[in-house]
Amino acid sequence: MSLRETQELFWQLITAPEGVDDGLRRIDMKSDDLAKLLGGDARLDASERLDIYANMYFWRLADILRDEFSAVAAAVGDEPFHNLVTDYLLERPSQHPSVRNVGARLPEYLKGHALGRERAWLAELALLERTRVDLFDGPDAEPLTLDELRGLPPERYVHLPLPLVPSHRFLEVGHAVDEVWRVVESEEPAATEELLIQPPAASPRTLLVWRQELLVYHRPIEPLEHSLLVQARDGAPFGVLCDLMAETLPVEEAGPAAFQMLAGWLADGLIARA
Amino acid sequence: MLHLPYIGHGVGLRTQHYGTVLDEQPRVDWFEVISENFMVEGGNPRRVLRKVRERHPIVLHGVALSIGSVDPLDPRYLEQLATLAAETEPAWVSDHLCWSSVGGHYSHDLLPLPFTEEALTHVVERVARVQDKLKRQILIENVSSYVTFTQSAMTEWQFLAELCTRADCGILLDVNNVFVSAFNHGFEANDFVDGIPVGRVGQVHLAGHSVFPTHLLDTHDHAVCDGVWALYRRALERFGRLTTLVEWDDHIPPFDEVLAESKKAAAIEREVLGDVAA
Repeated sequence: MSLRETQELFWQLITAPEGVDDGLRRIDMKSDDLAKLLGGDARLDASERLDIYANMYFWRLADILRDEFSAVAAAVGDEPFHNLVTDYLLERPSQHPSVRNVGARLPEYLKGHALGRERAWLAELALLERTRVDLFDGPDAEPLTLDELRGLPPERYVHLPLPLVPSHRFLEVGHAVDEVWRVVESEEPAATEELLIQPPAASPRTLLVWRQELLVYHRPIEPLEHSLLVQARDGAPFGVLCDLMAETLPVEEAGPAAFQMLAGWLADGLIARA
Repeated sequence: MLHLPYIGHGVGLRTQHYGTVLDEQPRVDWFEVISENFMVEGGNPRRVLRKVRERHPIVLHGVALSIGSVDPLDPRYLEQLATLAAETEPAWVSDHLCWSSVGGHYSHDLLPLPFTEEALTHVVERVARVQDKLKRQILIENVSSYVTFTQSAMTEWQFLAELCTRADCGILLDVNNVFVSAFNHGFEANDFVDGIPVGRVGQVHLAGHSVFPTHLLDTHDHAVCDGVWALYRRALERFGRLTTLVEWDDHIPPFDEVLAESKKAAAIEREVLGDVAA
């Protein structure tokens, strides 16, 4: 047997959903034939030895996924989550060298999975959790501070670019999954159990997820703030943001309101030094 | 021949200990980091690594090179590893004698190779390409294993010795893995150590494992056992002083407990080798 054939067989057997014997049945291979390829002894035969790898494969990745998607796991309960992970690893085996990325495709996978079709908000919750993982070690940037802004001559404000820090995302969701996340993080068992009975209501919203220094945050944002953040991200200076604000507020209120919003962004570490 | 310095007794840098390491700055000769954990764009992992590197030598230890896989070497992975190595200037870079991926799918485990001429030729060629890319010799570590292949034509230590000669790389001798595999496959652990060529061992790993009635499992979740310490002594007698690391990756205790294991290794080294180890 060539090295390629050996590795392909090994992979088929250790990733079979119900262990190596199940894998042997799926490829119509006899245990005796496996014993001709792999050494066994009185303590453990070839199949049992290979099962050690099969168990390590599944449980290691399942543990990682449970940590990464702890809110999804809490919201659906142990057994459904276990079944979800089993299906996911079988249908979407990892395609990246780093184990950090093993859950990258779970939010998308959930949309087509029975669990996700039953509860459309689950994929959105998974997306929120995965985004937080992505941003945790996303690119760094030096944030602009309010003190630095105040040190600028006021006439420069109009033309001041306000690039967002690169480690940010906007998520469009149809449910209050940020509330689900908060409930699970609160570690109040009664509140978490309630999720199994009472799913979050439909409540379309934009979630802003970003990293400030070392910690990842998220919050829902109103359409106006979303619009202004997108403009800032795309290069609009502060003056343009004030003009946009003036489309919804009286002119005399637009400037102070825009500055107040900007001060909040600076406090959140959302704006990078240009 | 291997051209790597002796850098003493190190500890694996784990997230649970970031605070202790940065705030208390414990006296440690060097830190080993899991390469893939730091092949990211930014955030806390890179910040911690920069700070640790300011004070200590580091070694990049990978788990995903998949040097024995029949899949092509991943060029993006290699580029990221080369970039990390250029940025952090590690004392050396290491990974495992294993395969992790096939058909583009990753197991995230260290799967065993058959010890055949075909596998040897394959691994030699790939180690050479990695060394060319990184512009440095790398160390290849023996893994714990639970199966053997009937087609193997040589022992694991013969395979490693031949790999070093042909690819001009070094060995990261994991003494715990030798102990575990010896029990699981019924060979003499001393034969493994005695079969590794002097002058090719760049580093040693020590770790704990879990004991089952039928086999030992390489779990890195216990203190080092007496049998592994005894094998470490034998390695010191054969190879002289060895840059040594105690691994602890699960049920991780407070940093002081891991450091105590590292200090125990240093004490054994002095005991076995005398002043040369001071």
